Amino acid sequence: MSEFFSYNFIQHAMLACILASIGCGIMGTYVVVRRIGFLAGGIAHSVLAGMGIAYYLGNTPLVGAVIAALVASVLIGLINLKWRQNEDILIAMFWSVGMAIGILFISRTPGYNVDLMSYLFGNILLVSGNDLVLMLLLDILLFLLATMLYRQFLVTAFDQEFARLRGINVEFYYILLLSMVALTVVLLIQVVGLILVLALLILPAASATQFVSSIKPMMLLSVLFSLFVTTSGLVISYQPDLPSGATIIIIASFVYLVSIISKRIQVKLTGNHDN
Amino acid sequence: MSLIEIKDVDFAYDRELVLKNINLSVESGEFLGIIGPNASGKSTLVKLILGLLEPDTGTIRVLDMPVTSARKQIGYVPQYPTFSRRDFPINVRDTVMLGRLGLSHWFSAYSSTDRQICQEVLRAVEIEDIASRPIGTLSGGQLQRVLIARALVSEPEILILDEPTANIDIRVEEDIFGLLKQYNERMTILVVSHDIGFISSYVDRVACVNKTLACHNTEEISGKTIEELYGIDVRMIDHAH
Repeated sequence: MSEFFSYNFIQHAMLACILASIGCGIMGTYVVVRRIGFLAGGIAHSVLAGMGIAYYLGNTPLVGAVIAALVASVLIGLINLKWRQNEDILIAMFWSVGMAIGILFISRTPGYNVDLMSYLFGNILLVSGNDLVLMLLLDILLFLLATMLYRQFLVTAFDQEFARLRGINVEFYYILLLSMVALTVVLLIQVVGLILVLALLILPAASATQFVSSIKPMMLLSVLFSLFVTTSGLVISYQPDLPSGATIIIIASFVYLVSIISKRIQVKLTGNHDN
Repeated sequence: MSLIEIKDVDFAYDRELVLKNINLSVESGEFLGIIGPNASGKSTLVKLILGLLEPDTGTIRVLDMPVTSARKQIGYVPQYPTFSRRDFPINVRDTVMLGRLGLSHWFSAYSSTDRQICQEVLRAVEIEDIASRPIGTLSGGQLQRVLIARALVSEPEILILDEPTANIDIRVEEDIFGLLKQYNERMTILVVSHDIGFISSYVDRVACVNKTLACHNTEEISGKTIEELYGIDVRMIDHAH
């Protein structure tokens, strides 16, 4: 085991797990309490368009991912606010058109054919030092915004009409929240890839809701769950040479199932339906 | 200057006229009841005063300001909780504290004054003992008190309540109106109700809404007025015990 941790790429991968878990726990909590998983999925998949275009132009795919994620979150936010009736159709369109654009650009890129699989399913063992710095910066930004504007995000998630009457610009905080979700998606793409990202964003936070009944403890517990899920997935997948992203998602869903069942048992034993 | 000044207001949802030629002035310190049958436009009138809806014609000014600027001075208790979900992970105290939003600095934490006011209101509304309960576990009456407390902590000049006791039994209803009567010494209160007999013993004046609006002082209210409003013969019930 000590040999395992001595490899440089394993140390990078472990750091990536820690950095991804911080953003994942904080923003996953809002995705779950606001029930915007479908929107987050749309953002995640349209990120491939940005990565493909950046790759075609010879730039770092991750920069393209950040730009595409931000553009997609603003557009999807506006769809949610203005064209509510057709929301599901428009987001489903975003979801697949984003991927289609990405694949077109990647196929047109001359020279060495990029490993599409590592964008789609992640390859945590290939995380570079630069990637880690970008992840750290994203985490700092997310943490600062989430703590400084905590009450605004809380009230707009909880009770929009009331927030509006207290003079809060509900639409602004909604789009800002989606943009932060978009940045989190970029963080997590490094770990599990853009197809599996939704599960890692939602499952640790959904597991946490079974045990706590307020937002801050829920964020903390989500961070811990996703830390457990990502690092154990990495360790388990290493020896038999399994895909790490897929292993992580299977463990995340297992944790979710266990948390639901243990909650049921707790309710049965204590007869307590309160928490 | 009146605290609330409504002049010649018409409002229609799509083409259907809901309120017609509404004129109303509310003076500082008043306890005004807004009554009328179901679907008579009472809640619409409240939403116009809050600026959640805009009148088609006419003007509404609150505290001599446009309604959207005056919002922060108004505490509003909706008929039903407008929470996104009943099982939202938040407890009673944190819900009530949200009423302090917009009064302190926008990115700092709550001040000790905020906490102190919150504690006082929790005590006054008698929900101090359930302050740490998640809101998803409360009864209808407890939830109604939470909504009232959340409106009170902002220390508003005007408190507007939409059917605050619609889903509550009569004993609790008396408690809540007794409490409102105390707060009326500090603020102007508007309360929407369909139960004219009950509120007439608390309010100074009633505004009867049924598409149009007519005001009556409480002592003027008789079976005749009610009959005109509801279009049927209603027996007045004496609530004095």
